[in-house]
Order: sequence, then structure tokens, then C-alpha cells
Amino acid sequence: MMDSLFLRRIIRVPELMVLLAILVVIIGFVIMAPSTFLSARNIGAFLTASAQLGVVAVGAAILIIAGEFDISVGSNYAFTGIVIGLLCTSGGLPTWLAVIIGLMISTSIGLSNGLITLAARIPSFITTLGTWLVWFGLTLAASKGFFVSVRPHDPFIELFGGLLGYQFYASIFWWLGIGIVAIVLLGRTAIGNWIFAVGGNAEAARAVGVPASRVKLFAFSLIGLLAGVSSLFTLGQQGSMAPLYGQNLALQAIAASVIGGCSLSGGAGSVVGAMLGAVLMSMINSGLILAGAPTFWYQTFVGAIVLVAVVINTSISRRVAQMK
Amino acid sequence: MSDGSNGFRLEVRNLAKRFGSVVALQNVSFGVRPGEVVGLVGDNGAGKSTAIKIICGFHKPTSGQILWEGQEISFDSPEQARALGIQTVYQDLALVNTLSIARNFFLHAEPAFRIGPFRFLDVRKMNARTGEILRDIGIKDLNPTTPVSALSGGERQAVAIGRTYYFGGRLLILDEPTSALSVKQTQKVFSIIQEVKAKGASVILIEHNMIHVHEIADRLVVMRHGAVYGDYAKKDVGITDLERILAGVR
Repeated sequence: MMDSLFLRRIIRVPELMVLLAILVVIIGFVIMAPSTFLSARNIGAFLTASAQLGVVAVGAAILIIAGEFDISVGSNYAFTGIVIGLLCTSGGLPTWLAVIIGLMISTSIGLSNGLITLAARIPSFITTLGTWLVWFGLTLAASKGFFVSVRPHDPFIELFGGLLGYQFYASIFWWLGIGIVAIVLLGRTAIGNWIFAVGGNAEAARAVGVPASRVKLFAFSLIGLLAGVSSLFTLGQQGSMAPLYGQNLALQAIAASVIGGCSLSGGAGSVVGAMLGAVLMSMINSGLILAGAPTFWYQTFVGAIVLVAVVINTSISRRVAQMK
Repeated sequence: MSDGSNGFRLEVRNLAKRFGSVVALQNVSFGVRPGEVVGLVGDNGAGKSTAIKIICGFHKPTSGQILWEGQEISFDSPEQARALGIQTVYQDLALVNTLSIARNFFLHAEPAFRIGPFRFLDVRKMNARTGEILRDIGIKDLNPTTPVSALSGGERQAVAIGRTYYFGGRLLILDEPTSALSVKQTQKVFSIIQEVKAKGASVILIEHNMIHVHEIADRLVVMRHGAVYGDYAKKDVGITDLERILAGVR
């Protein structure tokens, strides 16, 4: 019988579980790939991968806490990258302008998901299932199915995702900065309180005057913006975007959020947890490669971790509920 | 008071409400004073809900008057009634379970300081003030940072009533606050009602349990067939009388 205080603490600090999992994974891979897993190059590599996924996971966590989902985010990511690339190559725009237009587009795509969901009063899962395919199709149309590149070593793009050394890319620091802003926003501001409230009980929030629809639209727009930022990271690292990139991004970001303690029923969760969830997933990916395992094990691993995380979180919540 | 309000904070006079050809209310008059609990009782369909919805601004009466502290008023929306201090505490809709008591208390009324576009929460003040309020209404054993999901049903209801009172509720409308609660939990809710009443709040209590309503109310307004059948001081009517009146035996 676990101490009730301990269970309550886990409920209050949902990040504990994912931290524990990260520790286990580090120990496991250090044993399997002792010389390489904790090398500076590999730490840089998996943190860069964490940034690309994790910046979207920050948005996913906030949207899930607000009680909604966006599974179109991967198409938004690919579309935005393609558009930025086309604008500054065939379009001949200066890079900074192409980036600003790109981020405005990605934010608008997020916002439009929210508008459709709220106006039609349908589940956002369904809305974004539709818009996922719509934007995927438009991405293919815009790119004609080919990679779209930005100018090589464009300084503005490298600002977001350039290589700093040892596989550490600039995106890591952008991600951490955005994460800190999001953590403060969610935990220490009025709108953060409203985000939890509309996800936990939208009617109660409305009853005391919280502008619930606007709060949700904010969260939808934010994940759109962050999909665009993630796209910038990829452009910075690779100098190009492919129309097929990002098709797993939404589900991976949701997985990272859930591993990090977000409740799929809304109203509870943590940005830190989602960021750590993204780190855990990227670590597993790089560790499996270093350990020489076939990479398809990655999906299986992550899937199993999601299941374990949900089962543990649910059973703890139930036990805490029964204690009173 | 000398203004003809009989000391009522809220009074309705000759309210009538028709939905098309259906007469939902006719000739409904009653009032509630500061520091008074009025039990509004009646069988299903007696018109309690319609009367309450008019008082809360959800419906406009077909005819009749609403007076607030002696002044005739009319509401275009529930928000107007709420701004005046007429606030309903719904059983399930009052609180966000995943937020702490303090964050529920200050939801949309957060103490904050503004930096640029953001309003930063004064968490210390939120928790300290919530702790004071909880002690003030006699809930001493709850920590302001406890999530509402960890509270019992009675505690939840007590916190919801306390919140409504401390955030401008001057007439609290409680819709069956004790249904589905144990005896002990019910007593907890009653003691909160006593507390806010002692502080001068007016309370209208809709309740089906005659034993409960008779215990807590100062006056009992009985509705039947869309009209007020009787308006009794508690000492003038017993529980059995009430039950017989409601059953139509008397």
C-alpha cells in the first residue's frame, strides 16, 4: 500500500513520473551504448530532436489542458516550411519577411481550427482530422511533391536552427526560451488560470465570466504558431522542407504531453512534463540507433510508454479520489 | 425602511409568465430580506424554476414587477442580475475540479500585476486571502492550494457558496444544494448557509427535502400550479403541514 501523501505528491507534480522514466532510459542506454550515448554529440543530437518535437509539444500540452486537440499540426508544420521556402526562393522575398508571413500563416491555420470547432460545436479532434488532410493536400500541391529549399546558410534562418557545434543547434535554446515563457504563462498569469479552467469545466468558467471561447482560440492559435516555429527549426537544420515531413508530429506531440502528465479530458497537465516527454522520446530514438537496434522499435517503445503513463496516471487519480 | 420595500432586498410583485398559451406563473409575489433564508418549495412543475429564472434574468416576466432594495428593475440578461449581486450556485457547475480552491475562488477575479500584455498572478495574496475566507466561513481544515477534486461533496458545495458570497453575491440562489449529500455533509452546507446569512446575505433555497428546508429556512414560500399558495414564517408551519400542503391535502 503506497503512502497517500506520496500519491498526492505525484498528482501535484506530474513531471516526477517522466523524470523517473528518463533516468531509467539513460541508465539503460549507457549500459547498451556506453561510449556514445552521453557523448556531447549525441546529447546535442537528441536535444535538437527534442526541440523540434518539444516546441510543438508545448503547444499541444496547453491546448490539451484547455480541453482541445490539434492533430493537423504536422500538416501545418510542413505547409508553413514549404511556403517560407517558396516565398524566399521563387518569391524572391527577403527571408525575414518570408518567415513573418509563414508564422502568420501557421498561426492563422491554428486559429481557423479553433473557429471551426467553436462555431460548428464539433469535437476539435474531428475538425483537425479534416484540416490535417486539407493542409496536407495543399502542401503537396504547393510543393508539387518536391523538397523546397531556402538559400543555403541564410543567416536569418540559421538564427533559428543553425548548427552551434557538437550537434547542438540554435533551436535548442529557442525551445527552452519558449518553454520558460509557456511555463510562466500557464502557471503564473491570469490567462494561464483560465486555460486550466476552460479545460476543467468550461461551464463553470463561463459562469464566472471567463471568456472561454477566446481562451480556447488563443490555445489553438498558439499551437499553430509553434508548429511554424518548429518548421523554422527544421529549415535551419536542413535548409529544406519536404511535403511528407511532420505527418507523425501531432501524435508524437500528444504522446509527449500525455507522458508528461496531461489529462486527455482537459484541465490538468504540465508544460515541463510535455517538454520532458519530448526529451524522453528523442532519447529513445537516438539510443536505439546507437545501440544498433532497428529504428522501428522506436514506435513500439513510445507506444508502450504512452500506455504505461496513462494507466499509471489514471490509477493514481482514482486512488487519490477514493482516499477522501 | 420607509420606502415601502418592507425591508426586502429583493421582492417580486404579481409576476406572471406565459409561454405562448401556457401559463407558467400567475400572481407570484414574495420577497427576501437581508440576512434571511427563504425556502422556495413546491412539487415539480409548480413554477419554482420559472420564478427563479426570471429573478436571475434568464426570462423576462410577461407582467409584474421585480424590486431590488425598493427600486423597480428589469434585466436584459443574466449578467445584469449577476452584476447586481443575484447569483446562483449550481450543484455541478460551480467549481473547476482540477484547480485549487484558491484558483477557483479568484477565477476571473485574479489579483494580478500587469507587465506588458500579461497579468501576473499574485499567488501569495490569492492563497492568503482564500485561507482567511475559509476560516471566516468556518472551514478551518482546508488548505487553499488543495485541488477541488480532493474535496468531499459537502466541502465543494460549501466552498462554492463561500466563493459566491465573497465575490459580490448579495442574493444567493441555491438549487438543491444538499441533494446527494450525506447527513454529515449536509450539516456542513447548512453551517455555511448560516454563516453567509449571519453576514447579511439573502438566500433563496430550492429544496425538495422538507426536513432540510424546514431546518434551515426562516420563511417558506410554497408554490402550487404556478402561483404562491402560501408564505409562512417557520414557526407557523410544521414539516407535516408542509408535506400535506405540497401533496395537495390541504
